[in-house]
Amino acid sequence: MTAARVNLQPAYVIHTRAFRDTSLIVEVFTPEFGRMSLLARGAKSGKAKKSLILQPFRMLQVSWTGRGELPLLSAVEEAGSFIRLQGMALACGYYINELIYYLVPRYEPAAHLFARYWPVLEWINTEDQRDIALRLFEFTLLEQIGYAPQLDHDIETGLPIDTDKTYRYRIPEGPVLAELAGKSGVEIGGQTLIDLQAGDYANPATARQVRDLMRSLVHFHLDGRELLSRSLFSSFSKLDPQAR
Amino acid sequence: MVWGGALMSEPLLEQLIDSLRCLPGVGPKSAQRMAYQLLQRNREGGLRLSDMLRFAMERIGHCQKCRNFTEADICRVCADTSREQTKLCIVESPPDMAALEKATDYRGMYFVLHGKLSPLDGIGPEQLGLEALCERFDSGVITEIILATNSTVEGEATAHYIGELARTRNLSVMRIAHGVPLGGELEYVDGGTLSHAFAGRTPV
Ligand SMILES: [Zn+2]
Repeated sequence: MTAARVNLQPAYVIHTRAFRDTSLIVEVFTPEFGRMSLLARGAKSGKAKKSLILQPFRMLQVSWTGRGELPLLSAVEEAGSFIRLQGMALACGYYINELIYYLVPRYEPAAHLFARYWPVLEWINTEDQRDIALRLFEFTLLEQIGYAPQLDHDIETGLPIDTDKTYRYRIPEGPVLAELAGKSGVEIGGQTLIDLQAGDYANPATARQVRDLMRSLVHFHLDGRELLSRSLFSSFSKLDPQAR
Repeated sequence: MVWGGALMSEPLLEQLIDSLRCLPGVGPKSAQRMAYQLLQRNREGGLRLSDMLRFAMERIGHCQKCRNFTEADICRVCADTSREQTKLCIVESPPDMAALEKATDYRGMYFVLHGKLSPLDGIGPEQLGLEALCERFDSGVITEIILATNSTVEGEATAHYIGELARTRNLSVMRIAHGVPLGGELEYVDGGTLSHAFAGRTPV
């Protein structure tokens, strides 16, 4: 549980929703408390409207008081730059926020993932780094919530991954040699598994395999929940094929 | 304590107070004040209000063209043939349309979205239901779109999406400008607004 008073905790707004006439319930992502909700009383009124800066994709610092389910936001300040995401980049930004919203637990420290959040947003704003940024974020998220993908050995035989062999990744357990795995799981090359272990996402030839693997793992942990940012993403790419 | 024992035993009065609380900004105390005011001093006004509420709730629907509130099939703005039929301004809500009508000399047409794209609220392109808007785009009358959604992340996403829908139909697309409020001092403007205003600077 959170302390009674917290000052200037770095935070990103994940979502806000209106509460009563002028207040907001703000879902924030923080390094020390993971995901949590704050009540921003009167955020939509007064001279210095807090709602103006309580927006996603801005580096903020928040202070709050109270312990229970819904501590009271006492102050919010801008803590640096903000990123203007548009089009496809914005759909990706929403995807990242949806992942945090549904998968990052409340009140559990998440400093490792938090540190990745801003660089990933900056990368998704650059078209040729977008896919790598998303994979990196998905991977870090799985690590942070305690489900780091198992990449270094065949889960049937226990043998180390062979770069020349093809595997099928059994979701969520791990890779099995393709010839012994049947049709189940996601196909992935031995070299790709080694690259992933090393945090190397640069090989475009294996980008698709990595994407399919991450998507299946994320899907498993979402437990059947569909992400709307995906449909936003596909609508954007249908409308503007060049944006991909 | 607002709720007296005697009051609690009057079910109709209690129900009236409770019903008044559906109004924005009205808590138990102000609801009680309103109920007493009407009963003690203005029963006529209270009856007029109840008639008007019933009429309005039953009869006001959405304009078939712009989806703004109206008791007719087509609202007065849409029915006004002296307005520029080729321009279409897209807003999130009826109050936004009213604000633009009041503050600007815009004399084109409108379309009210009654929402915005917001994945975490479960609203994607499908849920926003833009078939009626696409029909207007395809009617051949509209040539220019003005995107007047809010300057929030969701408003921007919505503007982008509708802008692309319009662009694929070769319509001209404009976005309203966002910047430093008139009379605003730069020192007190938040960084996001300031950087947006700076990026959108215009020659003088
Ligand atoms: Zn109308």
